[in-house]
Amino acid sequence: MISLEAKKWIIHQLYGLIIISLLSIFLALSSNSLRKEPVPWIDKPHILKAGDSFPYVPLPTTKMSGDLTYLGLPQNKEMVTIEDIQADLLVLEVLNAFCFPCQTQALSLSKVYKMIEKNPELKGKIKILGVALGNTKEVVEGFMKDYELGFPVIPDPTARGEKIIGPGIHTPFSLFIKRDAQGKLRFVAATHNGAIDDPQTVFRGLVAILKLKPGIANTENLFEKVK
Amino acid sequence: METGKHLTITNKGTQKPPGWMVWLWRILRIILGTIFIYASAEKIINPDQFAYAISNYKLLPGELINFFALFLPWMEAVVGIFLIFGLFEWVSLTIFNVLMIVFMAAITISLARGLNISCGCFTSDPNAEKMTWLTLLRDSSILILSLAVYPLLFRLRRPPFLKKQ
Repeated sequence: MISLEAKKWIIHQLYGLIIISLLSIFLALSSNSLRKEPVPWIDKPHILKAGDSFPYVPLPTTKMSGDLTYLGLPQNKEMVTIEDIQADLLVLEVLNAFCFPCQTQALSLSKVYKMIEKNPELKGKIKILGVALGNTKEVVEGFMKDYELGFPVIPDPTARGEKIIGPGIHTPFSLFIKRDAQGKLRFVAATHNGAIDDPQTVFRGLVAILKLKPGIANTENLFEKVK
Repeated sequence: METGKHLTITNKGTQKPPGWMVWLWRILRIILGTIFIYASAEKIINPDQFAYAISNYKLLPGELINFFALFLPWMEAVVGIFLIFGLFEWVSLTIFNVLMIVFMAAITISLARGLNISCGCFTSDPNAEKMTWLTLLRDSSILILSLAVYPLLFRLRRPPFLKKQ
């Protein structure tokens, strides 16, 4: 049997627990509403958009296909993040080897890659990295050979990238990542959904994004064909 | 000797705890409370940065990250204030220990997974120094201290049903 004294003691402790929890929630609510930009209490997952910060995702270098020295990644490090990539503008291209628009996009990107590498002003500043959702390493290597892709591609057989970039994205999806105010390569300056068949258009768009001031996102369509 | 005097009193069955014990408890709870208030300050100012630090752990579903980023720092602050002023000592100390254990579990899981992230323990800045096993050592020393005060609490604030008949 629990004595009356013990009951009183337990109720007293429960009161304490309730008071501490309610006080914390009340203070959090009021302090958040006093902020200039209140933080939303529930943040639903959404597809990354211009102005977002690219989340911190460790990437295993051993599983990447292609020339990793191109990205300027630190040597003998097994886990890297996109912040480790040496570039002012990173084009993160989400694709799938079997989707037709992605193949169109791969063709134009392979030409854009060559254009950047030939341009002494842009070489080293703009870099491209592919992510192949749902493709194994073998498929990715065949795809890279067929489309003469000079940039590395990360095979993502379990489509983990979809959870990170946004549930339900349609490939090809391009993220244009620049440096944020702290100089870290993770600021999503622009995004683009769909294939662009003209390499010149892609190239012009990339130069326009590179010229944007740091911390400024572009929400307009930069990839319209010039007639 | 003073301690001897007190001991003789307790031996007579007056239940009065020795003065050094009361003071030790006061000092320890103020130390523990200050640790939590110090840790919460920056996170309260920058909950958005702290949310980013939490998301780096990859343990919580996306919907819950902001809730914890707003709630946890204030919980720490309230528990810290309650400990300093000696309010609801049993509950405050137990929440303190539970939070410490949860934080340490999160750090251990992240270190074991090889995540190279900052801890978000005393600063909300996700770009701060990356955590190492030393972070865990620091946290475990705080936990040992906060667990070691339970005997003091049992002596000073003994729950009534545990009293000797």
